[in-house]
Amino acid sequence: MIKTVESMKKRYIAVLLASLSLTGINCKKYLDINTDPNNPLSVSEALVLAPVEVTLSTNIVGGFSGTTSAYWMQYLSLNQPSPNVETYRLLPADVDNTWSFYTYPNALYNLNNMITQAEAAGHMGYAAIGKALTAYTLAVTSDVWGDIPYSQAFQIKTNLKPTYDSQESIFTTVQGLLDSAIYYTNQAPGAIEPGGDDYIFGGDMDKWRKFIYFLKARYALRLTKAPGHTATAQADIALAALTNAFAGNEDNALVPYPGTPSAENPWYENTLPGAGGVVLGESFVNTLKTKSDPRLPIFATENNVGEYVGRPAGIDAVPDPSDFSSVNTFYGGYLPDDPDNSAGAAASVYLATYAEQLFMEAEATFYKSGAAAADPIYRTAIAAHMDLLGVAAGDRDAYIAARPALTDATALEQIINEKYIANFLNLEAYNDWRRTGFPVLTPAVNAYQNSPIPTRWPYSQTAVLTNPQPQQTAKTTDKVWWDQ
Amino acid sequence: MFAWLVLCSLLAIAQTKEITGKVTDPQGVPVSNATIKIKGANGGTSAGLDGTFKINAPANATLVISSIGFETAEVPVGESSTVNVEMKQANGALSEVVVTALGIRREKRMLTYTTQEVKGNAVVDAKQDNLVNALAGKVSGVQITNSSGQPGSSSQLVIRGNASLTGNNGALYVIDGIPIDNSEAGNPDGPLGAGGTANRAIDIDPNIIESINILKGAAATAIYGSAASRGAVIITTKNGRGAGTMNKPTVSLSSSYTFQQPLYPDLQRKWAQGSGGKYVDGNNGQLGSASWGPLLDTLRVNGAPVPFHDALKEYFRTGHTTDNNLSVSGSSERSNYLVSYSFLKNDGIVPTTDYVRNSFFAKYGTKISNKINLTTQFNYIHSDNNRTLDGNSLEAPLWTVLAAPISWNPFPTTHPDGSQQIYRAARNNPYWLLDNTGLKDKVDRIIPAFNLSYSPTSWLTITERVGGDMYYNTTEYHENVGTVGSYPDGRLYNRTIVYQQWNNDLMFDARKNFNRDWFGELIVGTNLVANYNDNKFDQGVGLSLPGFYNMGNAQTVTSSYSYYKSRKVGFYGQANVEYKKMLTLGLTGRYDGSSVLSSDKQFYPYGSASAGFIFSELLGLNSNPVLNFGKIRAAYSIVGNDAVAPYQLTNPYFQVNAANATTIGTINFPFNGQNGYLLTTQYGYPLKNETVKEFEVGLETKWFSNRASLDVTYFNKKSSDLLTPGVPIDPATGFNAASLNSGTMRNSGVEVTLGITPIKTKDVNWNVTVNFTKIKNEVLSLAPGITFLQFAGFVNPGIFAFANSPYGVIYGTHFKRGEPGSKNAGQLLLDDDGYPQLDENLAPIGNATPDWLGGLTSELTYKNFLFSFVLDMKQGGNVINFDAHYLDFYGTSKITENRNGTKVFPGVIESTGQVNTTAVATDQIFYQNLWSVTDETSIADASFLKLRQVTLGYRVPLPKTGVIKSLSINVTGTNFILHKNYDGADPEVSLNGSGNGQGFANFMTPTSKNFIVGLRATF
Repeated sequence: MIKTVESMKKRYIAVLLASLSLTGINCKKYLDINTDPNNPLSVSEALVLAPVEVTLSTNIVGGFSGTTSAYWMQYLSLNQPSPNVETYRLLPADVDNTWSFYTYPNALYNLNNMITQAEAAGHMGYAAIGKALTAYTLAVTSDVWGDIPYSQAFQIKTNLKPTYDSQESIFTTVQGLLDSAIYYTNQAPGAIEPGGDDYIFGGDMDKWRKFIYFLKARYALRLTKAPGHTATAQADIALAALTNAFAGNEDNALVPYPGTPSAENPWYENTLPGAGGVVLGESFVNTLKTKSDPRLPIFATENNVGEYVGRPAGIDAVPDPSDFSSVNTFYGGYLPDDPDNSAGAAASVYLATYAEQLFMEAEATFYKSGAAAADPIYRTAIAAHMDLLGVAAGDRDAYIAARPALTDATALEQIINEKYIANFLNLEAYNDWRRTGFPVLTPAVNAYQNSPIPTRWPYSQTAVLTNPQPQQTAKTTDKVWWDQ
Repeated sequence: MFAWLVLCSLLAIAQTKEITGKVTDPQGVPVSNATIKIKGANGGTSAGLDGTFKINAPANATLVISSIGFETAEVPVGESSTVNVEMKQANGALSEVVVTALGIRREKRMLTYTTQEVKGNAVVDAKQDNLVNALAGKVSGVQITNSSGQPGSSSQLVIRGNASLTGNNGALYVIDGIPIDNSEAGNPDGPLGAGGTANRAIDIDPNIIESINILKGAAATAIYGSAASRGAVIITTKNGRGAGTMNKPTVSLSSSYTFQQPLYPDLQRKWAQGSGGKYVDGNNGQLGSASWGPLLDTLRVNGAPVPFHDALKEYFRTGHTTDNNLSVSGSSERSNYLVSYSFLKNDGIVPTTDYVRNSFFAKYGTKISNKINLTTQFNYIHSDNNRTLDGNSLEAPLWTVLAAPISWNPFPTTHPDGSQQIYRAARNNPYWLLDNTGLKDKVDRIIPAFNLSYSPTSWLTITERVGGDMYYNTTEYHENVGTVGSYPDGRLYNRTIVYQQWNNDLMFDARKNFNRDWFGELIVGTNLVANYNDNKFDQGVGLSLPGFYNMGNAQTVTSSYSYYKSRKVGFYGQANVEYKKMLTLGLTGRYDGSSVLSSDKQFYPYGSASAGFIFSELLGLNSNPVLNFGKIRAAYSIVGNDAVAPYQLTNPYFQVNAANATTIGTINFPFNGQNGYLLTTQYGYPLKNETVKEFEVGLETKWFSNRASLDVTYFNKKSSDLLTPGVPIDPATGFNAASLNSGTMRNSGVEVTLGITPIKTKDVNWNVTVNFTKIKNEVLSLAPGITFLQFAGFVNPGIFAFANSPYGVIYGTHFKRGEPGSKNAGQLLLDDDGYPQLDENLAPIGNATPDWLGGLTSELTYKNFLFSFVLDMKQGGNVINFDAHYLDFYGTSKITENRNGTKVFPGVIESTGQVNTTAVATDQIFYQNLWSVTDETSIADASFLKLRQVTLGYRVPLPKTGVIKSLSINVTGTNFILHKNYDGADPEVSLNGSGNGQGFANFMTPTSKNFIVGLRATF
């Protein structure tokens, strides 16, 4: 009896251990299922280039950066009660998305990875475009933030707190990246070339080269007042670059938008009724009216009583925003009364135009050779913009003839004032205004804490939280290095 | 000598005989595993599964038969060699049996940790659609927060404080030993702008529940594994035994009808549309957002008065709910069964919204042989929920309902040209939204379970339990052409979630009485959980044919699909030793492996040690008239946790698509013929398990012959290495967030449960139970170098975790006050005119964590009448009522009714340092430019005292032999707010549904007070 119990016990224990160990077999293998099946670990350059270009045109140029510049330059006005961004209240939290999502992770880091991958594979076209767009993005970023991280950036495994590079070194880096990009445009393209994934130029390296030279000139002229730089020296660099830049409006750098739902121009989204009443600014509309500018009906729509009226910057919100003119469809505006109100959705976002190039050439020529030499270029510049907008030749010529001749005392102001009109909704207007002081703008009424028009952005909330740096005490009324 | 011994033993052998017998209960059901001992001697045996036993006993011995849940019986061994014992059910209080982790039934008195039970009837009587809400006010240590008054809304249950920074803080739900999913799928557009959906516990029909046991601390759940590190809600379903008589089916029918009256916030109802006292005629094409116009009653337009409209009261309607249940159950000696069907339909207080639930449950248990028991059960639920959006988006009707001027007529909603009738730009007409937008959420869910237990010997039971939880959830949403918002050309989306979880437990449970005084139990087991989840999202933008909501009608369609698999393996063991039913020692150990952690850190061990001592036994107090039961217990436990989603360890590229939460503005890829991917913005560090270490000590006492009981527990738990996705890092690294182990939190507190039976006579019985909970929560640290972390809300205001503060800091703009340590520390610093000044630097302005929670349940029965009520109290804690931010600006909130008054702000003038005595006007300019833009003015006290339910019931006296065995009728009222300091409708509200960002309210559908009439009959 006892013996049987003993052996039964032993048998039970054996069974117990056996079944437990069976369930233990291949535990490691059973748990080895943590590879993401939904999202790839690496993709081709084409799949990255396309969304990066759209990020630049939609989230940066046409996004918060674009609207903020437009309000401060009084192109547009926001029909909301103050304080708000139009009346110069700009907080670290407001600029956070631009820094923390669009600029560093989405644009710059993806470009960084794309360039590395392209260089390793010998896909020169992607390397060229990558370097050019990196330079472009760095300039846009440094223009509003001054000192920014770059040389220590993108090293997450070793450096979680990159120090900031001076704006001067950023602009040197920018020119270096553009030279490197030019080099790549001249190499044999390699096995895979950009094509439809490059919304800007469709992979045409000649057009890219011209655009890169354009950018070299733009960033050279940026430094006319920077410490250690002179206007004439910068003009030399700019004019040299401009000989290889755009030849006409057909070379303009733009991102097209199909206009179908979920593929609309960012300015269309920015001027929807749900955006709270974005209309044209009074000083801009009045300037156009005073000069009988034939571009007025192309920039602006009529208000609810058939007139062109702009909203004074910073006034109290009016109940009905249609008291004012709004952005017309060439520049992407939403038209509430038009049955086909989605025409603006299919507008393009211009990154660089032939008109802007000619204005740069006029300014540089003025520094080098005086007002008289700059005058014909100045007029051609205005004509280039009017041609882009489709102004009738007669109106165009009449307007240009009516412009007073450039004089040495007033040439800069005249050039920049006309450039301001041609650069409607372009970030460059804000840079030119800071650099030259033109056009002369009266700050908005109800300015937040009686602030003048800000001359830079505060650093983003996430940047301040995660990586304290000495530059982060900067206020919106401080000036960036090239703004003297 | 030797011969004498042999003689004695021979004589002894000759004097004992073999006794066989059977142990049953009064219904004749066998009491399996009952213990049979010989009084005064060592040794004993256990009854088998069928109640039969065999024991050798001397002729004049007395057998002592005991079993959990029964009074110990003493039966003398007579002449016969067969002794059949019928045991009596024990007096409930002392021998309560509760269901613990893994479905193991144990006597409550021998537990070494704290649990609290809620009976199934109490859950049904609470008359809530969502099971979670039914527990409010009834359990200490637990905080329950409802989200919204829309039918089918979610509710969150947190046990012993939030322990996770961004992960799931809710408890684990287990039905009959099978863990089930309680996630909230949520709205694809996010809770801020769209509100939420239901949490999955809402699928469980209260009518099938026998009891719910809340396991609060890690000691209780350490054997359950990581999933229960936040506590567990153990649900046991009815099994057909207990009610009615053996071998005869019992049919039970219950039906109730509810009227819901919305609870309205206070608004001003005197001033019409306009600004600066001037009328803006929103009824005739003029546009204006505010109600700062003239008084309505003296307003004349073309000589005629303007009709008064209360947009709030005209919008809502009385809601109705019908709730019906039919069940058949029964039992025999060898088997038991229950079949139940319930139908619930809630037509909510918002027109076009409803929640319909069909639940079918069938359970069958049988003895396959004397040693084998099999229980199979199957739960099928189908629900349909129609909702509108809540929250801060233009497509949420409440924005307009709360902000509309009293002079505005919303009808007809559409002008002849098709545009909406609206009083201001950039809004939608709320009735137009009801006609042209809508969200439909459907769930089909199956929860099958099989439980096989085999007892090869009297002391060993082997249990194999396998169960699943599978559901298919589709969410469809549409907005018509003409909706003011980001999609003026219309939009629709379909999301389909498929969820499957399989859970398998194989356990060996050995329990034995060693001589009279010692009892030992050893459980060894293994657990496998496999989880599969897929998510398909299709969005169509631009409706070609307005009003036709089919994906084929959309101009641009984008799709995304993803699936997730995770698995867990666990080996566990539990050992309990009991001495003289007085002293218990418990040890648990578990070794888990999880697929979501880094491969070198996938396996992690943890365990617990606990003890309980019933000192009243030692002191012989069982019959003491004052204190008749006293027990102290202490436990220390460590639980590892792997609460992170799968696939967090790599950095992949995501297609730019709304479903991946990466769009560029509103742009999805493919765009212009090209597909596009961007690298993830969150960097995945290697991950290991979190650890929770908890110490718990408690005292349980019973007084005055069980007429009163007092349980007090103190706990202190520290969670560390918290798995935290979304920790911010400098975006210049290329990533703006990281997923890593970082952060520690401490929760400590006291739970008190007091029970009193003041009156106990033949006709009258009165029980009162009081619960009190105080939990102190502190975020000890976040990631290195990080002092705060946002997990909900807007950029400002938002809900944050701050180091060295309780979890749930509300963060936003505030008025300027003196710096701490300065002369005017804490005082308002006013400008020269006497107004407070806005301080743009964001700072903490409130905290969602309450000071304490309490509940009181009272049940009074007098003959056939029953009167009961449940009070629920929350003291402390803030909610940011973000409605105030808007309504104070627009001039419709109650506070703006007095707009010609003045106020002296208490504080000092900043420039002079003088105490302020100047009165300033609190008029439109003040409210619009200063008051409403300062977030701190929207912070409200979320304290409340609610009468959760009050019931008057009558049990109809019936002849014993009639067809109807019992019939009761009751009238119930629920959700009465007795006290609040809150301007909105109900301070118990949360825009984040059952998620972590509690304390944020913005344009949520209010709850209602409810009147219910119901009857229950059994045949």
